[in-house]
Amino acid sequence: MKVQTLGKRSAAVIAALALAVGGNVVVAHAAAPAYIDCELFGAGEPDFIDPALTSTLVGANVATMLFDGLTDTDANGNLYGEVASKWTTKDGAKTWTFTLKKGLKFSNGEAVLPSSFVNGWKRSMDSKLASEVAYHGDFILGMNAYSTGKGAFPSSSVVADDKAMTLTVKMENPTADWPSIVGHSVFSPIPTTMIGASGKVEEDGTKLVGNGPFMLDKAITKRAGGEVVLVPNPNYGGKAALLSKVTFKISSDVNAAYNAFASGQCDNGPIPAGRYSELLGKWGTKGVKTTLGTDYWGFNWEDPTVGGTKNKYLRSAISKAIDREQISTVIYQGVRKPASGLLPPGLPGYVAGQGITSTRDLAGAKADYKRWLDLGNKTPAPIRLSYNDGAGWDKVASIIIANLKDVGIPAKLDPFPADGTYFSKMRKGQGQMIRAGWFADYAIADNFLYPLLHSNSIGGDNLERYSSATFDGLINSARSSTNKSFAQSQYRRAEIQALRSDVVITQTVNRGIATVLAASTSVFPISPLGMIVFDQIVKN
Amino acid sequence: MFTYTIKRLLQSLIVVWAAVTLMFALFFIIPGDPISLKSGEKALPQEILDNIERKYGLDKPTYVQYFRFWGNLFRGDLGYSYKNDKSVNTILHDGLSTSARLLFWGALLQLIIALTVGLTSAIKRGSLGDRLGTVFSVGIQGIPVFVSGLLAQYLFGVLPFQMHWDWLNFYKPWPQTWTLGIIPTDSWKGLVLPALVVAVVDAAFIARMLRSSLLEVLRADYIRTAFAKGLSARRVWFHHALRNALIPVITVYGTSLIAIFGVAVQTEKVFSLPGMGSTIADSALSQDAPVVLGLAIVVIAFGAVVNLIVDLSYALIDPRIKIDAKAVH
Repeated sequence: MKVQTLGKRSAAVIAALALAVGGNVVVAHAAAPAYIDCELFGAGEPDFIDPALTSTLVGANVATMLFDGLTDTDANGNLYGEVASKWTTKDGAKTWTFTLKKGLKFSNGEAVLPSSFVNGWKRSMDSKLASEVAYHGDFILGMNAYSTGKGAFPSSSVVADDKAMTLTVKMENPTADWPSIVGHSVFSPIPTTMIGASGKVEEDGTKLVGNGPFMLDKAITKRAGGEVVLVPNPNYGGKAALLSKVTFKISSDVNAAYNAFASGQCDNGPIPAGRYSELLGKWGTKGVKTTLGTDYWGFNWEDPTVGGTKNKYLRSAISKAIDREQISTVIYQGVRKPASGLLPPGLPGYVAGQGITSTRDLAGAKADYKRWLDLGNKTPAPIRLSYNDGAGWDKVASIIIANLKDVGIPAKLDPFPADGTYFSKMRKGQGQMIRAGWFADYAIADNFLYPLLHSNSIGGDNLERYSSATFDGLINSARSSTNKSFAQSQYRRAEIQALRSDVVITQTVNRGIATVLAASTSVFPISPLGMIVFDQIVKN
Repeated sequence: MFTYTIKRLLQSLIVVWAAVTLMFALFFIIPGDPISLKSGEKALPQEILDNIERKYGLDKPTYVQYFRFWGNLFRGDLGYSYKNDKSVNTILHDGLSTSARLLFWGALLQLIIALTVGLTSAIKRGSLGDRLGTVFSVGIQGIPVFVSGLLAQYLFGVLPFQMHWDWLNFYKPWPQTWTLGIIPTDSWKGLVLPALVVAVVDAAFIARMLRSSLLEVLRADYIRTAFAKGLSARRVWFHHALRNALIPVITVYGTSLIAIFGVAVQTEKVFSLPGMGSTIADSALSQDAPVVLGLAIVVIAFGAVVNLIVDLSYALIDPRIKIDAKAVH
């Protein structure tokens, strides 16, 4: 009792003193810490944070904090139900039924129902919204006509039963990986208040309403110096966020963003190019993670010198000559690790060593080059290493040129102007040895192999214009199979066909994320898809 | 003077029209287009690109787009950014206030530095101060903004934070609240480094200009007469000498204010300020024509107004100068 009296008296004295000096009386309590992020938008503003519109990893990172989809991928790359409790398929992976968890709510208190997903997809695939990522909906029967403005929303392909809490989706083709694909943020649900909302909805923090661990408090996007502020969603049905607020600072310059971190303005920051070793040595490596992405160089399949089956030994000589360890250490200071295949570690079904080699094999390179010459070929004109200028690829290309020189293969830099037209020129077959890379949209092998190497993707992301009936057949059989292990074995065979038998591409490094963290950040989880899991960050 | 002002304003409108038309044409001449640029490492299906083109009216012939642009402009609508669908009016509205504040403080600091250094150098000609002023002028002018900006961030941000000298840490967020539109009421430290970086570039040049101009005026007969009449040195310096020496300096200062705009653009980028600077750079790179054209109108109009003010200010400083409407041509 006495203690209580003293407490009250003390509080009164403190309050009086505070009032006397013109301050406010603040009742102290153990609140969750706030977090200031200077890393995510350290190199520029996000395109959108609206899950229906964002096409960038950084924009999607915020979107995934605001919206939970039917499924998601955990830290080990394994699929799990987020809003969905279970899913089943029939008709040979052409019809999927998701059963949703009950009691989940949006941040405005509205229930998350199967119809919330229908409303979300109607909005994100609408041709009038003109989303860059609407094409992900093309897996659904009739959705392409809707997203290109040629037809109505395919209501018979996406059927919601709010009473039974089920969502049934009919596919255009057998799609065994649909549960993984549907985890993409473009398939997020929306509350009724967002039906038909335009792309400007994110500019008003109160209107972009989601069902994720956070809700939007403020968004001054589209400009440097702006910020996006998230606060915990009070109606969240999952594990509550450990932070009271996350502020994302938008910077227009990586150096300025790092300096902001280093001068105490933020809890994390980006690493300017060429300073990985120095800064990771100084701040620690807790913020480093290998992600589901691979850098590689492809050979133009139609090029008379490096393309086609007749030049396989020249390609294998080049592939064996490349020193991936040197690229990893010199250019990326170990943040990007040497790759041994196109599919990255962490992807379900990943097997190491699918490429023709993962380490430098100078003797093998020389032997293969001699075999190619012995077939009647002459020393070629310097092989062009094509890349988009201004992004630092000249350094990687220079290492490869030096590596090839050791074998006696002449090569030269072939920079394309940094005007954004590089990839469209490569798609038209203008490259010879082509700089390329890929980052997973969803954690499945098909997301790498089909767009990058299937003949249907020529003119798209198959920059090499590679066409192989064997490869296509393996991919087609994998896509239509509901037998997971069979599908994975077909994908593995297809990868070997392209990388080892045909050597149409040669991998260099797996991508990674590196960020510097203040000492107060004790847990900083990053998903294999490169998303920082802000709701699980632990700050002391 | 009224007729002169009106004629100059009309001339400015023609300049704005010509410049915007030229830039509009350039966007169609340079390789690539803003929509196909959206296809980067991952190709976008043509149907998706068509959707985006339709949304912004880019599927229409060039002349239709051109006349629609001017039609919308007369209604005060500058269109929408191709990059992120935000209204250009909003982008300008958001960015202008920051840029204007940075320009104001940069220009003010520039004037203070230039007057102090220029006057000191002229009055104490040949002294240590004069020599330091010369070194300062030459040295500062040669440093690009992206270097001086990052150096300032390190010296007055990173280093003090590491050394726990918080009083010297001036690398802080840009102020959020302002009184009278220009006086920061929170985080005033966030204003200091960007304004200083903007100020020092041309301050050095103006200081040298003021020094030369003052030294020339001081050799004039009327200055000798003023001293002979027994006027105080202060009165001679500030009332007779400085006033006359300022005329060429004002011309340079006016030009400098337009140039300072360019410096502010770079400074905003280096300090990630929410102004128009980084917007200009990013929009030009992504061929975001509506934003670039909107910003061009602002910049050209700003230049025209500054030039007009400079011309009019001559008459105020030197009553012997008369503004003549006929002199416009």
